[in-house]
Amino acid sequence: MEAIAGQVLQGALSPGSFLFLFVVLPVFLILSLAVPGRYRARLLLILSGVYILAAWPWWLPLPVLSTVVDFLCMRMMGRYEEEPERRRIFLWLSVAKTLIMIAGLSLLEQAFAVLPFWGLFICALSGTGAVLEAHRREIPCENSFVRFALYCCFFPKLFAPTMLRYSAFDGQPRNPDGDRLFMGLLLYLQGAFKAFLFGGRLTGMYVQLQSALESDASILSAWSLVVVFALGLYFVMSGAGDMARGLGQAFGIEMKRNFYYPYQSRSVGDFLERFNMCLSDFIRRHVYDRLRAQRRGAAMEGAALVLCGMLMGLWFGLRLNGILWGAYLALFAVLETKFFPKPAASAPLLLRRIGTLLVVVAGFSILSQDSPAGTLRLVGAMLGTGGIPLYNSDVLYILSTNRLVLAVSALLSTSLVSLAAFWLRRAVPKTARVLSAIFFVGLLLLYTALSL
Amino acid sequence: MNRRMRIAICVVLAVIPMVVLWPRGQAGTQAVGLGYSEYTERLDSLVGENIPLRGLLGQAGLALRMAGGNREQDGVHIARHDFIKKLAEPDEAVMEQNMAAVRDFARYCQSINRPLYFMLIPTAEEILRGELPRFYRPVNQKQLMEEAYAALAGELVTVDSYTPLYASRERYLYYHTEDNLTALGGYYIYTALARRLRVEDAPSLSHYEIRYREEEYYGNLYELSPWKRIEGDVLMTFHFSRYEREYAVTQTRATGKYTWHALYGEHMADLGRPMEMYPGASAAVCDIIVSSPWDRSLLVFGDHTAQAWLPFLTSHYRRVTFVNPAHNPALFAAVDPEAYDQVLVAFSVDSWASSRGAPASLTLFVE
Repeated sequence: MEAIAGQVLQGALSPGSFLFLFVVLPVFLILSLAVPGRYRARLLLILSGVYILAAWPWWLPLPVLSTVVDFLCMRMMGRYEEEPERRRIFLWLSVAKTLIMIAGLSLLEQAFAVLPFWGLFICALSGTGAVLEAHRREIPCENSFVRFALYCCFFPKLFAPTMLRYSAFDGQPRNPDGDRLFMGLLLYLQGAFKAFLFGGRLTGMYVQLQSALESDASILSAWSLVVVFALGLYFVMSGAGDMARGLGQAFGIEMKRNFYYPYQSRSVGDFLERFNMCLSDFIRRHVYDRLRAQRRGAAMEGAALVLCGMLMGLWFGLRLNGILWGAYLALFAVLETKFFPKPAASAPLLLRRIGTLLVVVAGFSILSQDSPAGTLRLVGAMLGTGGIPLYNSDVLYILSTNRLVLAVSALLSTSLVSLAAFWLRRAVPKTARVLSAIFFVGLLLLYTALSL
Repeated sequence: MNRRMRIAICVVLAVIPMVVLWPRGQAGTQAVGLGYSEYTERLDSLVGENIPLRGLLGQAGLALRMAGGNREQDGVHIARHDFIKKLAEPDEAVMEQNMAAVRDFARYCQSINRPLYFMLIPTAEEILRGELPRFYRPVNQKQLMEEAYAALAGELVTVDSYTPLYASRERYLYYHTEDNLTALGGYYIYTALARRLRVEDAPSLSHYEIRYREEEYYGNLYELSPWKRIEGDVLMTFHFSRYEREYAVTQTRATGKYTWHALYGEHMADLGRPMEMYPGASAAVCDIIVSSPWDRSLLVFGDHTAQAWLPFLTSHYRRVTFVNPAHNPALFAAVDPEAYDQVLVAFSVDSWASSRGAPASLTLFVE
């Protein structure tokens, strides 16, 4: 959990740092608004390069290399338009490049404790995804290296996989008007709040609960650990996604939403579609749909779903627990759709949501631990095996000192606040605009106050 | 290359490193990022320090966090009226080392026929438990003290400082903004010491003239905390009114020796260092000579808590020498326990349980 949070929250140039918020972002925005529209893509690419160089100087060659390889593969596919065998070679070159990068970087992390930044994987996947789309002729082969490189390396999306479909990038960047700029900055600030204040705080709670569980286990501490992990992961990742989308909107690039209130899901299959949506869409298009198209029967279809679940789990690192988590959720999805479709669909909505939430939260007992042995210990504590008490003063202290954060984060993980805002915008649009401006200033002050 | 071969290669690339490295899975959580530039870190700090209304915003943020239930900042509890420093988790190795040093020192004192007294002093976190957050479970200092006393029983005389402090816990025993006992807290410790050291019974408080030297003192915990809504402390000095005595207090510090001819160096308050007016504060050695009818002398090994109770002991001795072994040993190498009638070792539980070098330095006198 700390590794995931560290990717977004740590570093002087992380998207919620004071340096980024008060210096880098204003400078980048001014430059972006000052240049004419036809130079915007070039400027954004240069700014992205400068950002990567400043934030992760040692890693710069990798996204450059990945982008160049993917672009060349795409160009070569365009050259050999009528030769499917040759097109396939370049496709596999791009795929192999990405797999080697992922495996190599994960090896670096596991064996030498060197943590690569997340953006490298996003960059590599983005490029390979574009090559895959071009291979299937869903998009024409891109001729502009600037546009292609911008798609792969646009700096806000390096914190969250918010854009993995090249066809959605068509016609971008656009000139943002005042409204889009303001709403983009508001979304960015909301994302910073979610990721840094809630996500950071929940990560700290997770560490405390993990320590409390190891020293003096109780059933409540075990369940609190998985709930806090679930909330923390959601806030860090969705906050990063919102920051990326907000910044993208401010710079004229629309990006897709990555999380859609996953803990309100009606089924596990629904959860997989609401959680890390861009990644699940990528895996579904390039892996699941291709396997399903072979029509090898329900068993193979189920196996394909499990494989896709495992690939989603790999996003959290080359860890066995990540793979097991993905497989766990996928198995439940298979059970829902293939073996118990009627009960799953006919149960009352509230029951379905609660049931799904329980399955999902229990599943985080796998992802929250570093090893299967750790998971077994945690599950044992959740079930109260070994005569552990229901609660102890340590967990009560941790929960009581973080009660406000827990309550607010539970509320914000639902769509209630968003629905209220939507209703306000529909009912009283002018008042809503004024309130939005006040909310923006208030949020900025609150974020600064709580970050000091 | 056929399709199955390609799939197999992909699976191998993805799975084998994971299987090979499975036992090392935890390395990822301790992995260190490459590329966080020191320059950008410094820039970020600079921006943070120069944000307009920084102080006001910081206080507002802290108030919000505290309203949400988080009343612990950087190892300090923020109670309604006090900063209470958290006791670090006791280090068994350090306690063993300190125990061995005191045991060796006790044997040395027995060999030179000098009675040795031993006292552990609880911190505010133990005595002021009622002010701690609900459900918070502090280190059980009473149990730590009892275990230490039980282990050393028979080799020296132990002094119970817990009971008189706990009995008077509603009183102003610990500073609100400094991690130390007040002079009033020192008085209650002195009442326990006087009994065990077999001197006269401790006079009641009514026999002391209390002077209030500073009424808005903000100590180290206040300086370190961003929370500024705790009231300042009152610095008191207790003057035994029954007799007039003359004192010569010599403090040995790294910067040299300083002597003043009063029990309290009240001029230090005028120099902006009011806490240093207490004998023993910030000094490696504090030698107090008293024009007293008593012929007894006392050697004390202790820490910063001694400044609270040391002045009271001067009523019963011709000479009291305090040594803080946390300082450079060269500064107290000349102190000879054989030149004293009694020896007292008194440390706070904090120094005992988590601080290397303080009690353990007693071995220097044994060698």
